[in-house]
Amino acid sequence: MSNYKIIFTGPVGAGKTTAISSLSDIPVIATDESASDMTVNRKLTTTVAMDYGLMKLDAGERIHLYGTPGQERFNFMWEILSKGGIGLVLLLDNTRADPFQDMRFFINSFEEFIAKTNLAIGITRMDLDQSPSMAEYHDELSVLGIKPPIFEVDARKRNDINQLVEGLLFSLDPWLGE
Amino acid sequence: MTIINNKQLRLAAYGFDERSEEGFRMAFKGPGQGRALLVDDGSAEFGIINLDAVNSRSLLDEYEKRHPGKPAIKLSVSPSDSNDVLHVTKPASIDDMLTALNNLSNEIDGHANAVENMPPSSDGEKLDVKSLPKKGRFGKNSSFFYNPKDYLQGEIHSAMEYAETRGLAVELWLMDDEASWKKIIILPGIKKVLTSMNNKQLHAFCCLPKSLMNSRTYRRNEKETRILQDRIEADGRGMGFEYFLWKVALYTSQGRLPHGTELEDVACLKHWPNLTRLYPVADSMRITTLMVNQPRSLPLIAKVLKIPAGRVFAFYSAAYAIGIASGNRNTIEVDNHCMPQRHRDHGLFGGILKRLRKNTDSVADVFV
Repeated sequence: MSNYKIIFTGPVGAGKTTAISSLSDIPVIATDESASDMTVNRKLTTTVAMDYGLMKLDAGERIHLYGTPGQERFNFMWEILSKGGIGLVLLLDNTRADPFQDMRFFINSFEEFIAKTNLAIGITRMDLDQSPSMAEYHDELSVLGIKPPIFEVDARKRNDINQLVEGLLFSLDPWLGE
Repeated sequence: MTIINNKQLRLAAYGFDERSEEGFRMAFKGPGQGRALLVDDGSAEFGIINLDAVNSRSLLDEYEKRHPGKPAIKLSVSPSDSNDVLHVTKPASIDDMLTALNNLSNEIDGHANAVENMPPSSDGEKLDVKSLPKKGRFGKNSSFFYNPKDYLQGEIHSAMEYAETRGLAVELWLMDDEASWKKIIILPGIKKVLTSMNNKQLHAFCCLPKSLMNSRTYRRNEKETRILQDRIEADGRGMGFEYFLWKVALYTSQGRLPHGTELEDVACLKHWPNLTRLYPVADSMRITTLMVNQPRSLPLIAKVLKIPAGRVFAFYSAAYAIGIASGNRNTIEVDNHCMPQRHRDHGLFGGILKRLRKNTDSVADVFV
Protein backbone atom coordinates (compact mmCIF):
# COMPACT_ATOMS: atom_id res chain seq x y z
CA MET A 1 0.00 0.00 0.00
CA SER A 2 1.27 3.46 -0.93
CA ASN A 3 2.08 5.98 1.72
CA TYR A 4 0.96 9.53 1.22
CA LYS A 5 1.72 12.54 3.37
CA ILE A 6 0.32 15.97 3.97
CA ILE A 7 2.91 18.23 5.57
CA PHE A 8 1.95 20.91 8.08
CA THR A 9 4.48 23.63 8.69
CA GLY A 10 4.72 27.09 10.21
CA PRO A 11 6.28 28.94 13.10
CA VAL A 12 6.07 27.96 16.76
CA GLY A 13 2.57 28.27 18.18
CA ALA A 14 0.77 28.57 14.84
CA GLY A 15 -1.43 25.56 15.62
CA LYS A 16 0.16 22.73 13.61
CA THR A 17 -0.27 20.10 16.35
CA THR A 18 -3.87 21.19 16.97
CA ALA A 19 -4.69 21.15 13.25
CA ILE A 20 -3.30 17.63 12.85
CA SER A 21 -5.31 16.55 15.90
CA SER A 22 -8.51 17.82 14.32
CA LEU A 23 -7.94 15.65 11.22
CA SER A 24 -6.31 12.56 12.67
CA ASP A 25 -8.11 9.28 13.30
CA ILE A 26 -5.54 8.35 15.91
CA PRO A 27 -4.30 10.31 18.91
CA VAL A 28 -1.54 12.57 17.64
CA ILE A 29 1.94 11.48 18.47
CA ALA A 30 3.64 14.68 19.50
CA THR A 31 7.28 14.95 20.37
CA ASP A 32 6.94 18.00 22.55
CA GLU A 33 9.57 19.14 24.98
CA SER A 34 9.58 21.92 27.50
CA ALA A 35 10.71 25.00 25.69
CA SER A 36 14.02 26.23 26.97
CA ASP A 37 14.78 29.03 24.56
CA MET A 38 12.89 32.10 23.29
CA THR A 39 10.04 29.77 22.33
CA VAL A 40 8.99 29.79 25.96
CA ASN A 41 7.57 33.25 25.39
CA ARG A 42 4.93 31.78 23.09
CA LYS A 43 4.15 28.34 24.56
CA LEU A 44 5.36 26.12 27.35
CA THR A 45 6.19 23.11 25.19
CA THR A 46 7.32 22.91 21.59
CA THR A 47 7.61 20.19 18.96
CA VAL A 48 11.25 19.14 18.69
CA ALA A 49 11.06 16.31 16.16
CA MET A 50 7.66 16.13 14.54
CA ASP A 51 3.97 15.58 15.08
CA TYR A 52 2.30 12.58 13.54
CA GLY A 53 -1.35 11.88 12.81
CA LEU A 54 -3.17 9.51 10.46
CA MET A 55 -6.26 9.74 8.30
CA LYS A 56 -7.84 6.42 7.38
CA LEU A 57 -9.75 6.43 4.12
CA ASP A 58 -12.65 4.14 3.16
CA ALA A 59 -10.61 2.35 0.52
CA GLY A 60 -8.03 1.38 3.14
CA GLU A 61 -5.57 4.06 2.08
CA ARG A 62 -3.77 5.94 4.81
CA ILE A 63 -2.76 9.56 4.73
CA HIS A 64 0.07 10.41 7.09
CA LEU A 65 -0.10 13.87 8.59
CA TYR A 66 3.28 15.26 9.57
CA GLY A 67 3.89 18.46 11.44
CA THR A 68 7.33 19.96 11.15
CA PRO A 69 9.02 21.42 14.20
CA GLY A 70 8.50 25.15 14.17
CA GLN A 71 12.01 26.18 15.07
CA GLU A 72 14.61 26.95 12.50
CA ARG A 73 17.22 24.85 14.29
CA PHE A 74 15.23 21.74 13.39
CA ASN A 75 14.84 22.50 9.71
CA PHE A 76 17.05 19.60 8.63
CA MET A 77 13.97 17.50 9.46
CA TRP A 78 11.82 19.29 6.92
CA GLU A 79 13.48 17.85 3.88
CA ILE A 80 13.17 14.34 5.23
CA LEU A 81 9.53 14.84 6.16
CA SER A 82 8.43 16.36 2.89
CA LYS A 83 9.58 13.44 0.74
CA GLY A 84 6.47 11.80 -0.77
CA GLY A 85 4.21 14.59 0.40
CA ILE A 86 1.15 15.52 -1.67
CA GLY A 87 1.01 19.11 -0.50
CA LEU A 88 1.98 21.66 2.08
CA VAL A 89 -0.27 23.35 4.63
CA LEU A 90 1.40 26.46 6.04
CA LEU A 91 -0.06 27.85 9.25
CA LEU A 92 0.87 31.39 10.26
CA ASP A 93 0.23 33.01 13.62
CA ASN A 94 -1.12 36.53 13.11
CA THR A 95 -0.08 37.64 16.58
CA ARG A 96 3.62 37.14 15.88
CA ALA A 97 5.90 40.12 15.39
CA ASP A 98 6.28 39.75 11.63
CA PRO A 99 3.97 37.14 10.06
CA PHE A 100 5.09 38.19 6.55
CA GLN A 101 8.67 37.34 7.38
CA ASP A 102 7.46 33.94 8.62
CA MET A 103 5.49 33.44 5.41
CA ARG A 104 8.43 34.31 3.18
CA PHE A 105 10.75 32.13 5.23
CA PHE A 106 8.59 29.00 5.01
CA ILE A 107 7.64 29.50 1.36
CA ASN A 108 11.31 29.90 0.44
CA SER A 109 12.35 26.93 2.57
CA PHE A 110 9.80 24.65 0.88
CA GLU A 111 10.13 26.27 -2.56
CA GLU A 112 11.03 23.05 -4.39
CA PHE A 113 8.36 21.02 -2.63
CA ILE A 114 5.69 23.64 -3.36
CA ALA A 115 6.72 23.76 -7.03
CA LYS A 116 6.23 19.99 -7.28
CA THR A 117 3.00 19.88 -5.28
CA ASN A 118 0.98 22.81 -3.97
CA LEU A 119 0.42 25.07 -1.00
CA ALA A 120 -2.50 26.19 1.17
CA ILE A 121 -2.09 28.84 3.86
CA GLY A 122 -4.10 29.18 7.05
CA ILE A 123 -3.87 32.32 9.16
CA THR A 124 -4.51 31.62 12.84
CA ARG A 125 -5.30 33.93 15.77
CA MET A 126 -6.83 36.64 13.61
CA ASP A 127 -9.47 37.00 16.29
CA LEU A 128 -6.72 38.27 18.60
CA ASP A 129 -4.98 40.50 16.10
CA GLN A 130 -6.59 41.68 12.87
CA SER A 131 -3.36 43.07 11.51
CA PRO A 132 -2.03 42.22 8.98
CA SER A 133 -5.35 41.80 7.19
CA MET A 134 -6.17 39.16 4.62
CA ALA A 135 -5.90 41.84 1.91
CA GLU A 136 -2.34 42.57 3.04
CA TYR A 137 -1.46 38.86 2.88
CA HIS A 138 -2.76 38.77 -0.69
CA ASP A 139 -0.62 41.79 -1.58
CA GLU A 140 2.42 40.11 -0.05
CA LEU A 141 1.74 36.87 -1.93
CA SER A 142 1.36 38.73 -5.21
CA VAL A 143 4.91 40.03 -4.70
CA LEU A 144 6.00 36.39 -4.46
CA GLY A 145 4.03 35.68 -7.65
CA ILE A 146 1.75 33.00 -6.23
CA LYS A 147 -2.00 32.76 -5.60
CA PRO A 148 -2.51 29.84 -3.21
CA PRO A 149 -5.70 29.21 -1.23
CA ILE A 150 -5.35 31.33 1.92
CA PHE A 151 -8.01 31.29 4.62
CA GLU A 152 -8.49 32.61 8.11
CA VAL A 153 -8.62 29.53 10.35
CA ASP A 154 -9.01 28.48 13.92
CA ALA A 155 -6.84 25.38 14.27
CA ARG A 156 -9.25 24.06 16.92
CA LYS A 157 -12.16 24.06 14.47
CA ARG A 158 -12.31 20.96 12.34
CA ASN A 159 -14.41 22.69 9.66
CA ASP A 160 -11.72 25.33 9.17
CA ILE A 161 -8.89 22.81 8.83
CA ASN A 162 -11.03 20.58 6.59
CA GLN A 163 -11.68 23.52 4.26
CA LEU A 164 -8.02 24.45 4.23
CA VAL A 165 -7.03 20.93 3.18
CA GLU A 166 -9.90 20.94 0.65
CA GLY A 167 -8.45 24.15 -0.80
CA LEU A 168 -5.11 22.39 -1.19
CA LEU A 169 -6.73 19.39 -2.92
CA PHE A 170 -8.93 21.45 -5.26
CA SER A 171 -6.01 23.62 -6.29
CA LEU A 172 -4.26 20.41 -7.30
CA ASP A 173 -7.30 18.91 -9.05
CA PRO A 174 -10.46 20.93 -9.81
CA TRP A 175 -12.20 17.75 -11.00
CA LEU A 176 -12.65 16.57 -7.44
CA GLY A 177 -16.19 16.40 -6.15
CA GLU A 178 -17.72 16.04 -9.64
CA MET B 1 -55.04 25.65 2.94
CA THR B 2 -51.30 25.93 3.40
CA ILE B 3 -48.44 26.15 0.99
CA ILE B 4 -46.48 22.92 0.94
CA ASN B 5 -43.29 23.76 -0.92
CA ASN B 6 -40.46 25.81 0.58
CA LYS B 7 -39.25 27.81 -2.40
CA GLN B 8 -40.46 31.40 -2.54
CA LEU B 9 -42.01 32.14 -5.92
CA ARG B 10 -41.43 35.53 -7.51
CA LEU B 11 -44.45 36.37 -9.63
CA ALA B 12 -45.37 39.33 -11.81
CA ALA B 13 -49.00 40.17 -12.57
CA TYR B 14 -49.96 40.87 -16.18
CA GLY B 15 -53.23 42.57 -17.21
CA PHE B 16 -54.49 43.38 -13.70
CA ASP B 17 -55.33 46.74 -12.14
CA GLU B 18 -53.55 48.05 -9.02
CA ARG B 19 -56.33 46.91 -6.70
CA SER B 20 -56.07 43.31 -7.88
CA GLU B 21 -52.29 43.44 -7.55
CA GLU B 22 -52.66 44.71 -3.98
CA GLY B 23 -55.06 41.82 -3.34
CA PHE B 24 -52.42 39.34 -4.54
CA ARG B 25 -49.80 40.97 -2.33
CA MET B 26 -52.01 40.67 0.73
CA ALA B 27 -52.94 37.07 -0.05
CA PHE B 28 -49.29 36.07 -0.56
CA LYS B 29 -48.09 37.80 2.59
CA GLY B 30 -50.92 36.75 4.88
CA PRO B 31 -52.52 33.37 4.17
CA GLY B 32 -49.71 32.53 1.74
CA GLN B 33 -47.17 32.91 4.58
CA GLY B 34 -44.72 34.72 2.32
CA ARG B 35 -44.35 31.76 0.01
CA ALA B 36 -44.91 33.96 -3.03
CA LEU B 37 -43.90 37.51 -3.73
CA LEU B 38 -45.38 39.90 -6.25
CA VAL B 39 -42.49 41.60 -8.03
CA ASP B 40 -41.95 43.65 -11.16
CA ASP B 41 -41.63 42.08 -14.56
CA GLY B 42 -37.83 42.41 -14.61
CA SER B 43 -37.22 40.24 -11.58
CA ALA B 44 -40.12 37.78 -11.88
CA GLU B 45 -39.65 34.08 -12.39
CA PHE B 46 -43.27 33.35 -13.22
CA GLY B 47 -46.46 35.21 -14.06
CA ILE B 48 -50.11 35.57 -13.19
CA ILE B 49 -52.02 36.45 -16.34
CA ASN B 50 -55.50 37.95 -16.60
CA LEU B 51 -57.14 36.13 -19.52
CA ASP B 52 -60.03 38.60 -19.43
CA ALA B 53 -57.76 41.57 -20.15
CA VAL B 54 -58.40 43.28 -23.47
CA ASN B 55 -54.86 42.49 -24.61
CA SER B 56 -54.70 39.00 -23.04
CA ARG B 57 -53.52 37.40 -26.32
CA SER B 58 -50.52 39.69 -26.60
CA LEU B 59 -49.84 39.30 -22.85
CA LEU B 60 -49.66 35.52 -23.30
CA ASP B 61 -47.43 35.83 -26.39
CA GLU B 62 -45.13 38.30 -24.63
CA TYR B 63 -44.92 36.02 -21.55
CA GLU B 64 -44.05 33.01 -23.67
CA LYS B 65 -41.37 35.03 -25.42
CA ARG B 66 -39.80 36.26 -22.19
CA HIS B 67 -40.20 33.10 -20.16
CA PRO B 68 -40.12 30.31 -22.75
CA GLY B 69 -41.63 27.09 -21.46
CA LYS B 70 -42.33 28.51 -18.00
CA PRO B 71 -45.79 27.89 -16.54
CA ALA B 72 -48.06 30.75 -15.45
CA ILE B 73 -51.17 31.04 -13.31
CA LYS B 74 -54.11 32.18 -15.43
CA LEU B 75 -57.30 33.80 -14.20
CA SER B 76 -60.55 34.18 -16.13
CA VAL B 77 -64.30 34.38 -15.56
CA SER B 78 -64.85 31.31 -17.75
CA PRO B 79 -63.76 27.96 -16.32
CA SER B 80 -60.83 26.21 -18.00
CA ASP B 81 -61.73 23.79 -20.82
CA SER B 82 -58.66 21.66 -20.24
CA ASN B 83 -58.72 21.13 -16.45
CA ASP B 84 -55.59 23.28 -16.26
CA VAL B 85 -54.42 23.06 -12.62
CA LEU B 86 -52.90 26.51 -12.93
CA HIS B 87 -56.19 28.06 -13.99
CA VAL B 88 -58.25 29.94 -11.41
CA THR B 89 -61.88 30.82 -12.13
CA LYS B 90 -62.99 34.28 -11.06
CA PRO B 91 -64.02 35.44 -8.57
CA ALA B 92 -60.82 33.95 -7.21
CA SER B 93 -60.86 32.93 -3.56
CA ILE B 94 -57.69 32.94 -1.47
CA ASP B 95 -57.84 29.14 -1.28
CA ASP B 96 -58.08 28.88 -5.07
CA MET B 97 -55.03 31.14 -5.43
CA LEU B 98 -53.03 29.16 -2.87
CA THR B 99 -53.98 25.89 -4.57
CA ALA B 100 -52.76 27.32 -7.86
CA LEU B 101 -49.50 28.40 -6.18
CA ASN B 102 -49.01 24.89 -4.81
CA ASN B 103 -49.66 23.44 -8.25
CA LEU B 104 -47.15 25.89 -9.73
CA SER B 105 -44.56 24.84 -7.12
CA ASN B 106 -45.17 21.19 -7.95
CA GLU B 107 -44.81 21.81 -11.68
CA ILE B 108 -41.53 23.64 -11.12
CA ASP B 109 -40.22 20.82 -8.93
CA GLY B 110 -41.25 18.27 -11.54
CA HIS B 111 -39.52 20.28 -14.25
CA ALA B 112 -36.37 20.73 -12.16
CA ASN B 113 -36.21 17.00 -11.42
CA ALA B 114 -36.65 16.20 -15.09
CA VAL B 115 -33.79 18.55 -16.03
CA GLU B 116 -31.62 17.14 -13.24
CA ASN B 117 -32.24 13.59 -14.40
CA MET B 118 -31.70 14.36 -18.07
CA PRO B 119 -28.77 12.39 -19.47
CA PRO B 120 -25.94 14.74 -20.33
CA SER B 121 -25.38 15.48 -23.99
CA SER B 122 -22.38 14.03 -25.77
CA ASP B 123 -20.01 16.62 -24.35
CA GLY B 124 -21.47 16.15 -20.90
CA GLU B 125 -23.17 19.55 -20.93
CA LYS B 126 -26.63 20.41 -19.65
CA LEU B 127 -26.30 24.14 -20.16
CA ASP B 128 -27.00 25.53 -23.59
CA VAL B 129 -24.37 28.25 -23.57
CA LYS B 130 -25.47 29.57 -26.95
CA SER B 131 -28.92 30.32 -25.60
CA LEU B 132 -27.50 32.78 -23.08
CA PRO B 133 -27.56 36.45 -23.96
CA LYS B 134 -24.08 37.55 -24.92
CA LYS B 135 -23.93 40.91 -23.20
CA GLY B 136 -25.39 42.11 -19.96
CA ARG B 137 -26.01 45.61 -21.16
CA PHE B 138 -28.43 44.37 -23.83
CA GLY B 139 -30.43 42.34 -21.41
CA LYS B 140 -31.65 44.78 -18.79
CA ASN B 141 -34.89 42.86 -18.36
CA SER B 142 -33.32 39.49 -18.97
CA SER B 143 -33.67 37.03 -16.11
CA PHE B 144 -29.87 36.50 -16.30
CA PHE B 145 -29.06 39.97 -15.00
CA TYR B 146 -29.97 42.28 -12.17
CA ASN B 147 -28.91 45.73 -11.12
CA PRO B 148 -27.68 45.66 -7.50
CA LYS B 149 -28.68 49.33 -7.21
CA ASP B 150 -32.33 48.31 -7.64
CA TYR B 151 -32.13 46.18 -4.50
CA LEU B 152 -31.11 46.37 -0.86
CA GLN B 153 -27.61 45.30 -1.97
CA GLY B 154 -27.08 48.72 -3.59
CA GLU B 155 -28.30 50.51 -0.46
CA ILE B 156 -25.94 48.52 1.75
CA HIS B 157 -23.02 49.11 -0.56
CA SER B 158 -23.65 52.88 -0.61
CA ALA B 159 -24.11 52.94 3.16
CA MET B 160 -20.80 51.12 3.67
CA GLU B 161 -19.02 53.55 1.36
CA TYR B 162 -20.51 56.53 3.20
CA ALA B 163 -19.69 55.05 6.61
CA GLU B 164 -16.09 54.35 5.62
CA THR B 165 -15.54 57.73 3.98
CA ARG B 166 -17.04 59.80 6.80
CA GLY B 167 -16.19 57.50 9.69
CA LEU B 168 -19.83 57.63 10.79
CA ALA B 169 -22.30 54.82 11.48
CA VAL B 170 -25.25 54.38 9.14
CA GLU B 171 -28.52 52.66 10.02
CA LEU B 172 -30.88 51.24 7.42
CA TRP B 173 -34.42 50.66 8.65
CA LEU B 174 -36.69 48.34 6.66
CA MET B 175 -40.37 47.81 7.35
CA ASP B 176 -41.48 44.19 7.37
CA ASP B 177 -44.89 42.61 6.69
CA GLU B 178 -46.02 43.25 10.24
CA ALA B 179 -45.20 46.95 10.01
CA SER B 180 -42.26 46.69 12.38
CA TRP B 181 -38.85 48.09 11.54
CA LYS B 182 -35.86 45.82 10.98
CA LYS B 183 -32.46 47.44 11.29
CA ILE B 184 -29.08 47.08 9.65
CA ILE B 185 -26.37 49.02 11.47
CA ILE B 186 -23.15 49.66 9.59
CA LEU B 187 -20.13 50.59 11.67
CA PRO B 188 -16.95 51.97 10.11
CA GLY B 189 -13.58 51.54 11.80
CA ILE B 190 -14.33 48.13 13.26
CA LYS B 191 -16.01 47.32 9.91
CA LYS B 192 -18.89 45.47 11.47
CA VAL B 193 -22.54 45.09 10.51
CA LEU B 194 -25.24 44.36 13.01
CA THR B 195 -28.77 43.40 12.03
CA SER B 196 -31.96 42.52 13.84
CA MET B 197 -32.96 40.26 10.93
CA ASN B 198 -32.51 36.52 10.73
CA ASN B 199 -31.28 34.96 7.48
CA LYS B 200 -34.78 34.26 6.20
CA GLN B 201 -35.89 37.84 6.72
CA LEU B 202 -32.70 39.21 5.16
CA HIS B 203 -33.15 36.87 2.18
CA ALA B 204 -36.71 38.10 1.66
CA PHE B 205 -35.64 41.77 1.76
CA CYS B 206 -32.76 41.09 -0.63
CA CYS B 207 -35.18 39.64 -3.22
CA LEU B 208 -37.53 42.59 -3.01
CA PRO B 209 -37.00 45.39 -5.56
CA LYS B 210 -36.17 48.65 -3.81
CA SER B 211 -39.22 50.29 -5.33
CA LEU B 212 -41.43 47.98 -3.25
CA MET B 213 -39.47 48.52 -0.05
CA ASN B 214 -40.36 50.87 2.75
CA SER B 215 -36.97 51.96 4.04
CA ARG B 216 -35.27 54.78 5.93
CA THR B 217 -31.62 55.73 6.25
CA TYR B 218 -30.21 57.37 9.37
CA ARG B 219 -26.69 58.71 9.58
CA ARG B 220 -25.27 58.84 13.09
CA ASN B 221 -22.99 61.59 14.42
CA GLU B 222 -19.53 61.00 15.86
CA LYS B 223 -20.68 60.58 19.45
CA GLU B 224 -23.46 58.14 18.54
CA THR B 225 -21.05 56.21 16.31
CA ARG B 226 -18.54 55.89 19.13
CA ILE B 227 -21.18 54.66 21.59
CA LEU B 228 -22.46 52.08 19.08
CA GLN B 229 -18.96 50.87 18.25
CA ASP B 230 -17.94 50.55 21.90
CA ARG B 231 -21.08 48.59 22.68
CA ILE B 232 -20.67 46.20 19.76
CA GLU B 233 -16.95 45.71 20.33
CA ALA B 234 -17.64 44.88 23.97
CA ASP B 235 -20.38 42.40 23.00
CA GLY B 236 -18.25 40.78 20.31
CA ARG B 237 -21.31 40.84 18.08
CA GLY B 238 -21.63 41.73 14.43
CA MET B 239 -20.50 40.45 11.05
CA GLY B 240 -17.59 41.67 8.96
CA PHE B 241 -18.38 43.90 5.97
CA GLU B 242 -17.09 41.29 3.53
CA TYR B 243 -19.13 38.46 5.04
CA PHE B 244 -22.31 40.53 5.02
CA LEU B 245 -21.90 41.94 1.52
CA TRP B 246 -21.07 38.49 0.12
CA LYS B 247 -24.20 37.01 1.69
CA VAL B 248 -26.44 39.88 0.57
CA ALA B 249 -25.11 39.56 -3.00
CA LEU B 250 -25.79 35.81 -3.00
CA TYR B 251 -29.33 36.35 -1.76
CA THR B 252 -29.96 39.11 -4.27
CA SER B 253 -28.35 37.39 -7.23
CA GLN B 254 -30.43 34.21 -7.08
CA GLY B 255 -28.35 32.84 -9.92
CA ARG B 256 -28.26 36.12 -11.88
CA LEU B 257 -25.32 38.36 -12.75
CA PRO B 258 -24.79 42.00 -11.89
CA HIS B 259 -25.97 44.29 -14.67
CA GLY B 260 -23.12 45.16 -17.03
CA THR B 261 -21.38 41.78 -16.84
CA GLU B 262 -20.20 40.70 -20.25
CA LEU B 263 -20.76 36.97 -20.65
CA GLU B 264 -18.03 36.68 -23.27
CA ASP B 265 -15.38 38.21 -21.01
CA VAL B 266 -12.93 36.05 -19.15
CA ALA B 267 -13.94 35.98 -15.49
CA CYS B 268 -10.96 36.38 -13.16
CA LEU B 269 -10.46 36.37 -9.41
CA LYS B 270 -7.75 38.57 -7.92
CA HIS B 271 -7.17 35.91 -5.30
CA TRP B 272 -8.94 33.15 -3.36
CA PRO B 273 -11.90 34.37 -1.31
CA ASN B 274 -11.60 33.80 2.44
CA LEU B 275 -13.97 30.84 2.15
CA THR B 276 -13.77 29.76 5.79
CA ARG B 277 -15.28 33.09 6.81
CA LEU B 278 -17.85 33.58 4.02
CA TYR B 279 -21.37 32.26 3.57
CA PRO B 280 -20.95 28.88 1.85
CA VAL B 281 -21.72 28.33 -1.84
CA ALA B 282 -21.75 24.87 -3.40
CA ASP B 283 -18.74 24.20 -5.66
CA SER B 284 -17.02 27.42 -4.55
CA MET B 285 -13.60 25.71 -4.35
CA ARG B 286 -13.88 24.31 -7.88
CA ILE B 287 -15.12 27.60 -9.34
CA THR B 288 -12.34 29.49 -7.53
CA THR B 289 -9.64 27.13 -8.78
CA LEU B 290 -10.67 27.69 -12.39
CA MET B 291 -11.10 31.44 -12.04
CA VAL B 292 -7.72 31.83 -10.35
CA ASN B 293 -5.64 29.37 -12.35
CA GLN B 294 -7.36 28.87 -15.70
CA PRO B 295 -9.74 31.79 -16.30
CA ARG B 296 -12.61 31.32 -18.72
CA SER B 297 -15.93 32.96 -19.48
CA LEU B 298 -18.61 32.29 -16.88
CA PRO B 299 -20.80 30.06 -19.09
CA LEU B 300 -17.71 28.04 -19.97
CA ILE B 301 -16.81 27.58 -16.29
CA ALA B 302 -20.29 26.13 -15.73
CA LYS B 303 -19.89 23.91 -18.77
CA VAL B 304 -16.42 22.65 -17.85
CA LEU B 305 -17.40 21.93 -14.24
CA LYS B 306 -20.79 20.52 -15.32
CA ILE B 307 -22.66 22.59 -12.75
CA PRO B 308 -25.68 24.89 -13.18
CA ALA B 309 -24.75 28.26 -14.66
CA GLY B 310 -26.82 29.96 -11.96
CA ARG B 311 -24.45 28.62 -9.30
CA VAL B 312 -21.43 30.11 -11.09
CA PHE B 313 -23.30 33.38 -11.63
CA ALA B 314 -24.26 33.61 -7.95
CA PHE B 315 -20.65 32.98 -6.91
CA TYR B 316 -19.40 35.60 -9.37
CA SER B 317 -21.97 38.13 -8.12
CA ALA B 318 -20.83 37.65 -4.54
CA ALA B 319 -17.13 37.83 -5.45
CA TYR B 320 -17.82 40.92 -7.57
CA ALA B 321 -19.65 42.56 -4.66
CA ILE B 322 -16.60 42.22 -2.40
CA GLY B 323 -14.32 43.51 -5.13
CA ILE B 324 -12.28 40.45 -6.04
CA ALA B 325 -13.93 39.40 -9.33
CA SER B 326 -13.85 41.11 -12.67
CA GLY B 327 -14.44 40.39 -16.32
CA ASN B 328 -11.51 40.97 -18.58
CA ARG B 329 -11.74 41.34 -22.32
CA ASN B 330 -7.95 41.28 -22.78
CA THR B 331 -7.17 38.16 -20.77
CA ILE B 332 -6.59 35.20 -22.99
CA GLU B 333 -9.19 32.59 -22.33
CA VAL B 334 -7.97 29.09 -21.77
CA ASP B 335 -8.82 27.10 -24.84
CA ASN B 336 -12.15 25.35 -24.64
CA HIS B 337 -10.44 22.08 -25.42
CA CYS B 338 -7.72 22.67 -22.84
CA MET B 339 -9.52 21.07 -19.95
CA PRO B 340 -8.01 21.07 -16.47
CA GLN B 341 -6.13 17.85 -16.00
CA ARG B 342 -7.10 15.22 -13.50
CA HIS B 343 -4.27 14.75 -11.02
CA ARG B 344 -2.54 11.37 -11.18
CA ASP B 345 -3.76 10.83 -7.63
CA HIS B 346 -7.34 11.87 -8.45
CA GLY B 347 -8.82 8.76 -6.84
CA LEU B 348 -6.82 9.21 -3.67
CA PHE B 349 -7.73 12.91 -3.43
CA GLY B 350 -11.39 11.96 -3.89
CA GLY B 351 -11.01 9.59 -0.93
CA ILE B 352 -9.47 12.33 1.23
CA LEU B 353 -12.24 14.73 0.23
CA LYS B 354 -14.90 12.17 1.14
CA ARG B 355 -13.24 11.65 4.50
CA LEU B 356 -13.04 15.41 5.16
CA ARG B 357 -16.67 15.97 4.22
CA LYS B 358 -17.92 13.26 6.54
CA ASN B 359 -17.48 15.75 9.33
CA THR B 360 -18.10 19.02 7.53
CA ASP B 361 -21.36 20.93 7.51
CA SER B 362 -23.17 20.47 4.22
CA VAL B 363 -23.53 23.42 1.87
CA ALA B 364 -27.07 24.33 0.94
CA ASP B 365 -27.46 25.34 -2.69
CA VAL B 366 -30.27 27.82 -2.36
CA PHE B 367 -29.20 30.32 -4.94
CA VAL B 368 -30.08 28.66 -8.21
